[in-house]
Amino acid sequence: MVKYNPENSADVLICLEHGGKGLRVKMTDFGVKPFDFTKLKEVDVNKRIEERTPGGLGIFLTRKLVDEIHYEYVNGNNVITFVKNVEH
Amino acid sequence: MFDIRVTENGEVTISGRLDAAQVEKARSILDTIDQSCVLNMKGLDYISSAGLGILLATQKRLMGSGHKIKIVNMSGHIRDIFHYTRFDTVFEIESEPTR
Repeated sequence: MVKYNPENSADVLICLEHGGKGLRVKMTDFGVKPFDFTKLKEVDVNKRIEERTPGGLGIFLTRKLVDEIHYEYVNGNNVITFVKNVEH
Repeated sequence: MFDIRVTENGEVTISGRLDAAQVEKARSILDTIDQSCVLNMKGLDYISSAGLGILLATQKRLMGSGHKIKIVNMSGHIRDIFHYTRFDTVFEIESEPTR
């Protein structure tokens, strides 16, 4: 949201919440077009190197490393929430 | 702070955090590499998808002329990233994780 939307100079809001099962990170990008990255096709990491191209790995890794991902478009704002469970 | 340099013996060392903001700095060095080389990751704390992208592009360019990057001193965390993204099949990786 920061790297891919350089035209917008609005602030980005990042909220961290610890509780329940673990850590919840909620990021809001204000005044932008909808971009539901959760619906993007997943990059195929099993392709041969000749067929691989740079890109798409950030979303792939995010999906891999967190336990939940939620997307909402609220009043012209993209809102992405990650949940990372923490073992106690 | 990210740093990349080529040592006297031709080894490329990278350290710090290789994220999107540092990719052009990394590219400025990696684009000068035209032979097989060792990439020493000792001191590399973090690599983003953009960092992975520049490494992939460099490896593909070198392989086109029969060369390749060999990675040494990779941390456990970055080794996990390479495993998830299957970059461990793209690069020769030496040494045990230094967790």
